[in-house]
Amino acid sequence: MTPPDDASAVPDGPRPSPDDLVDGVPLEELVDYLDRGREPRDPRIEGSPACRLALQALQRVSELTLESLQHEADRDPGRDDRWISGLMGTIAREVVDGRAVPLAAPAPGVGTALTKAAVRGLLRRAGDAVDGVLVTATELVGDVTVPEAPVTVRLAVTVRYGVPLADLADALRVAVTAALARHTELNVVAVDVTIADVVPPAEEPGGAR
Amino acid sequence: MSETTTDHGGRWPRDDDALAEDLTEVLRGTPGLVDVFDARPRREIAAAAVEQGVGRGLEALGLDAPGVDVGGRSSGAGPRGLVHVVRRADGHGTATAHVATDLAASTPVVLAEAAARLRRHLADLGERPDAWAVRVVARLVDGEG
Repeated sequence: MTPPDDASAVPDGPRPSPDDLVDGVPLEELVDYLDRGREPRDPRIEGSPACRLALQALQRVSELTLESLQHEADRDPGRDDRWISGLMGTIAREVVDGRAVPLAAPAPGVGTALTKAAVRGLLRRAGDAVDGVLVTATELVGDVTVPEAPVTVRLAVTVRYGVPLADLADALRVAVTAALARHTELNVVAVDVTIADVVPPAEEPGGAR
Repeated sequence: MSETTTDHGGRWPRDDDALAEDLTEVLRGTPGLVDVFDARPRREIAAAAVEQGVGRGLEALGLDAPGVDVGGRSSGAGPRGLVHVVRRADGHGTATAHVATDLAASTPVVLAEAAARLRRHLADLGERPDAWAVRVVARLVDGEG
């Protein structure tokens, strides 16, 4: 695997800390809650949109990284821990972005919107659904608070080795564009994809890849 | 006391609480809407939490106190009215809802329907719909892809 020596491939802000909070809940607590199968139900976590967004992302990180990163974690746990903590820190920052992304008013006196965090959660979902991809960071460049303003989507992704990168980038653009068209009214003018990392496929039984 | 209950235009504070509960229930029936979150400002939620904590403490001691709800909210079920309602003395008001929508549905359609339901309910209660600003915000898009 080629996790970065530092978290530079997980862009967007300062280094994460083990004390990163999501809506007042430490990330570590969210991870533990997820590990327990979200039982017993914690109303403080389940009642927080930011925590729910983080749980969504962490769940997919858990599923996707277990198969492809586990052997690397065994080989060099320090590097993998740094990579994972960088990713978790990025997720923690993305899920608390409460700026409104407005929708057209359906009637006088009515306002509807999504939060920017919800939109970034959509981007992660759409990207992670593409085979061989784990979204490491998302960004919306442009003034999303102004209807019709041009917006560029930026995705940083980790991909499985061997997947044709051009095809993968095309698949990501299709997935992201479709998700945003269904759930938002953003005027997306470009989807920029950065391959931040490449990981080998999971080892098959017997050691073959 | 919270903003919701101090800016009530001469009505009893419980009126706004009851309206918030009504509107929350109305939202829950919206197709494609999978959850309703607490839309009250943080300071108001914190004040309510303190109030609930005081209520639970008094309840444990077998005591009661004026203005402290030791009923449903102290059961651990959380607040019942999650829509933030602010009613002004001039009859105008705002209702703000924070929700989760279903990934399989179109969020703009779901939010528009949710807002329409809130306005219809306000009208059914005799409120002038044009006197109310209704805002519905999707904080999460959830569900299986």
